[in-house]
Amino acid sequence: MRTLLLAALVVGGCSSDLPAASFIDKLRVLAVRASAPEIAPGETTTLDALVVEPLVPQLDGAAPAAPSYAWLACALPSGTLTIAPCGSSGLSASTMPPSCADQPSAPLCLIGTDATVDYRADANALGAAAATELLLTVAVADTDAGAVGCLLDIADNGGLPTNPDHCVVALKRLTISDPAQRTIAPNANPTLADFYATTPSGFAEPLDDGSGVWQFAPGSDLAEWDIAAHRSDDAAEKKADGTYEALTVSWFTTAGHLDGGRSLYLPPGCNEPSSCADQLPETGADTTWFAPTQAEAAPMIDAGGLVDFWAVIRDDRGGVGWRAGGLRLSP
Amino acid sequence: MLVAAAAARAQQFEPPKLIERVEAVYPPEAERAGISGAVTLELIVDAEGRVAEATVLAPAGHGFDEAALAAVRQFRFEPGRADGKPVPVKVTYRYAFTLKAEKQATGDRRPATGNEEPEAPVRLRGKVIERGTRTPVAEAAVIAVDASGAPIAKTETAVDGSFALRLAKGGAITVVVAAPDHKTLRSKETLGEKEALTVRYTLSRSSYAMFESTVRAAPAREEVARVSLEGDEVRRIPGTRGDALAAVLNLPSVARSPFDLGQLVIRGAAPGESGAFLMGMGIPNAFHFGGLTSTFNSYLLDRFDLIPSNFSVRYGRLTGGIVDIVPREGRRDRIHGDIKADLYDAHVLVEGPVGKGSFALSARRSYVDAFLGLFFSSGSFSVAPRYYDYQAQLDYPVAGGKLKLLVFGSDDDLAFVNRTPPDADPTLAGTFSTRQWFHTLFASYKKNSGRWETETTLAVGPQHFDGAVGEAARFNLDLVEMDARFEARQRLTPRFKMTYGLDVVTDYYWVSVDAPQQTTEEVPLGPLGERPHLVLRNRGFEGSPAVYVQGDLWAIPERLLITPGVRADYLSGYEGVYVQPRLMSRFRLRGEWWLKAGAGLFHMYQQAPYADAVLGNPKLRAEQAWHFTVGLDARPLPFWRALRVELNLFYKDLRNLAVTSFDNTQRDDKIVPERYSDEGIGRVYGGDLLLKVDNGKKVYGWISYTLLKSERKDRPGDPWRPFQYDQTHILTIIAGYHLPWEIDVGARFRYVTGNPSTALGPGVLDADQGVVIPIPGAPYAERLPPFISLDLRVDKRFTFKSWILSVYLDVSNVTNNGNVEGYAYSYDYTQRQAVTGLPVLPSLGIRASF
Repeated sequence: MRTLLLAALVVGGCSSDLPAASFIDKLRVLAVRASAPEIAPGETTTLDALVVEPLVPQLDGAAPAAPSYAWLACALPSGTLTIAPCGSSGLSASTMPPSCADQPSAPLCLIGTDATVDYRADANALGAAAATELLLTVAVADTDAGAVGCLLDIADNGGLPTNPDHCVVALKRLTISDPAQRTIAPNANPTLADFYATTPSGFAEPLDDGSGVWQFAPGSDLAEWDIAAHRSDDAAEKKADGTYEALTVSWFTTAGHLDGGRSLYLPPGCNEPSSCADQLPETGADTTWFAPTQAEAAPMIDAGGLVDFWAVIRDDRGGVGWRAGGLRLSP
Repeated sequence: MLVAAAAARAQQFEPPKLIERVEAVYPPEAERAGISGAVTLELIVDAEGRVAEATVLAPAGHGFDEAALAAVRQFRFEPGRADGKPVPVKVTYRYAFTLKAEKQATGDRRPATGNEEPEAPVRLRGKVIERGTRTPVAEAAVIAVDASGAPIAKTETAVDGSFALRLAKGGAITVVVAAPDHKTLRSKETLGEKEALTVRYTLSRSSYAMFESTVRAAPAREEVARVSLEGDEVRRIPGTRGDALAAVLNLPSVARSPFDLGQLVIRGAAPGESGAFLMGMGIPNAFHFGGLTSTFNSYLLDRFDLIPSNFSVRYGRLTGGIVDIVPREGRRDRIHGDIKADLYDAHVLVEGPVGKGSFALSARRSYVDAFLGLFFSSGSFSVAPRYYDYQAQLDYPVAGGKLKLLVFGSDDDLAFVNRTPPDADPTLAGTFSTRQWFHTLFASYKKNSGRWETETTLAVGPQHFDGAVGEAARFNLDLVEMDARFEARQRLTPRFKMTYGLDVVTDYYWVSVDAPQQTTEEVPLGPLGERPHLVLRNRGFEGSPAVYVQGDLWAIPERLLITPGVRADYLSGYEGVYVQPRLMSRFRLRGEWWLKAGAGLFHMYQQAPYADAVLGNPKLRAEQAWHFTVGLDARPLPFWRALRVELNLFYKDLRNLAVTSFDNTQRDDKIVPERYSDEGIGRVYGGDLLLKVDNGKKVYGWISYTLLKSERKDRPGDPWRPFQYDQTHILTIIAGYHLPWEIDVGARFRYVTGNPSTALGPGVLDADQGVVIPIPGAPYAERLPPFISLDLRVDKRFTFKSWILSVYLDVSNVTNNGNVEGYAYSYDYTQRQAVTGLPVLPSLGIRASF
């Protein structure tokens, strides 16, 4: 316990110059969504990902390029300490996995290479079990070799990513459950009802309808904006044990910086979801955005002065949703 | 019998008392020749009342010397006591051989120091005490001189500082009072003819340097390597704020723990494999908050002993090293008090006589929250740590033995809220807290009965430990622990002693855990939410008895000591009894040059939670270690006996070490994750060197250097890799000097090889958690930069008539060296930044004692 506490203090308590997860300066996968996140054997779910790239040159100076995708599905070992992505070992150009549509029961199969793909669960995925989890992997790359080439490189390199700034690999768990043995409705993805910013002077600027504007911070003072997102009324579902899902929202931007890249939807008076999981979480969560000065903004925004924002809401059962938006520089 | 003057520097001193005298055999040669004689010897009476050394100062020849030596070595004394504590004392003894009809030899003692018996009346009586401490000054010369300066009467003060001076007539005189290490006092008095004058003289010490230790004869120590530091000398070590247990971290074979937290990493062992003991019983929590300061008030410490390996059969259930804390008794001459405050905590201490015994009470409370708030600055943190501890002690003679009762308690509490989870781990949000307390009654009774010494010790009390790490983990443990030890030591012959012991540790516990699976040290800490989450609710009883037997044999008197022993432990939860043979020996090359060697087997429980049925693998075997040590212990310079040199070479073989397992196993007809296996092995080898100045008057300090490799092999076929706390070079230089005007200055320099480190590389995104899972490099393939630090300390004392005021400034890391303690990584592990330790850190303290 002392080791955990000390590690937490080091990880959480030390301010640093390291890049924040909330700042987008290169190709990133912010979320992977399965619609629906929980399906029955033989049912189909649609997979897509929130993939973002800044419109200005990347962190390493490379020009942004259109991403390519590769989706894989494989078995998820239970109770293991580490999870390796599908295809991290044994994958090669000569041993590409079969298509999941052709062989849904294969231990490793290729779902597809589009930005959005459909996956149909094997009808015999459960056996006699009430539920199981399947591991999905998506590789997103903006290199000439593409996402498939990225996966082959990783497999050749003993599972280590070779170009993490231009090839991102993400994991997602898909729950497959027997409808006859369910005690509650299957999990659904949470959604956000709105996404807006409040100016330093108190005016609300919508983020997701393209009409919001921003201004440079005057002089060297930091202009503080409030970025907020309300969850939909049905976002907080009840789990089988009667408690509510724990909801979090992750914030991202392409300019300025955010005070904390993640917020919790907590019931009133709560410090952490687990201590009051029997109470409905509040509907709103927010963070603070510090707008850049003109000098700071110059290399970060495009000629149109657009600053992008994303909010990704997650529950604690694999459900995810998001909203995107932006602010234009005020003339 | 003359007592060494150095011993009289204690506040209260009682010389040894002869309780068992052995008649010497009259040398046949001298008897035939009709010769009588007397031999003057110097004896060192140890703290147990035995004659540890005997040397002829004035020989008589004709076989008298050998006969006297043979007899005095069998003498038994009530040991001398300094401040109530048994101490070794050097005495001069004259053994006279008188040829009588019965042909018996008799011993002849010089009269003890004290008043002579002239015939004149007592005209001046009084007491001599020491300025500042109010301690009686024994063996001070009180001399009456006339107007011309000629002495007309003389006496000496008794142990309690009293004297009675007899003079033939009254009138004006000058009284001169002189004592070793004190400034001479001259006082004019006018003596009456009928009534005696009563006076009180206060002598100032030449120096109040508190690091003048009582000269201690080297005891016949059984352990191969045991370093003892006394309370006074360790409370002045720079950078430790006067904390005696922190001083352990400056000794050979003790590694430096990250951020200088007081984890005991002794001779390459893991922190949980070593332990701290008080009165031979384990201490539930030796350091506040894992290392800020020790829980036992250093001002109640007589000394502590560090035994880095090859400890005797008295200690068990550990495979690393031992720190044994020896509390001192309360002073018995009068009530004394001590109040101290520095930037972090304050204590109050009161002690004094009660009947034939003494008491001591101490309480301490922290205000460290102001200090920690400077270093943990995140907008969402509010830090509120505090600790307190207390000791209440009673020492009393009962039924011919000595009873000691000690109530010892400690409480640490820390809680803060982090509302903004870090990028690397979203579960690290919410409440972070730790609360640990214990309240323990220690009771000890020692008695000597002829050739037997018995010692019975009990320790009983409740303990509590709970903690929360945001959303990631919750932990709660309550237990009531009762430990007991009974030990009997029998001296069968002057050269052979047997020790028999029974040692039991029991506890009744309630435990609740909600936490991610803990990994062993070779698996780096990644996002906690990625690990399997485990839940345990349990309560039960554990009892672990042990028996041990040890022999101490002087195979060659005063030259070769052999100490074989065997210990048998029953470890609750493991099958079978663990029999652990151990052998130690010491051989005197010449003078004070000793060769030492030791070998032994040690077993202990697997550390929690590796062997737990729910959290771990209940099939794990007990940890095992073989220790081998050879060494040299000497005072090599006859002209500078204060310099002591100790050199040790060691090797340890470690087996059945728990390592994280990624396999499944069958248990109770089910396939379950194995979590841990006990395939790990380890080896530790190297040497350490200690150069130490004992009993320094002007200077004190030591140089400690350790060259060590501590390696592990996690599975058969794996290569050897460095252990987490492997520090190849550990160099500590401590030096202190007593300047005029009661100013002491001290410095501590440390150079320590950086800890091994496992690099983390960019991995994959867990889209469900929104965190990147890093991919670790080879375990501990990197090493942090070396740790280099210089600490300084200045003390100034103001001595008043009845009290002493001390102020000190203790500055850690004077050069503000940014020592790297680890690395913080970016959210995707593509970049990292060094995390440095504490910067320059001053501590100002003030202390009043009376």
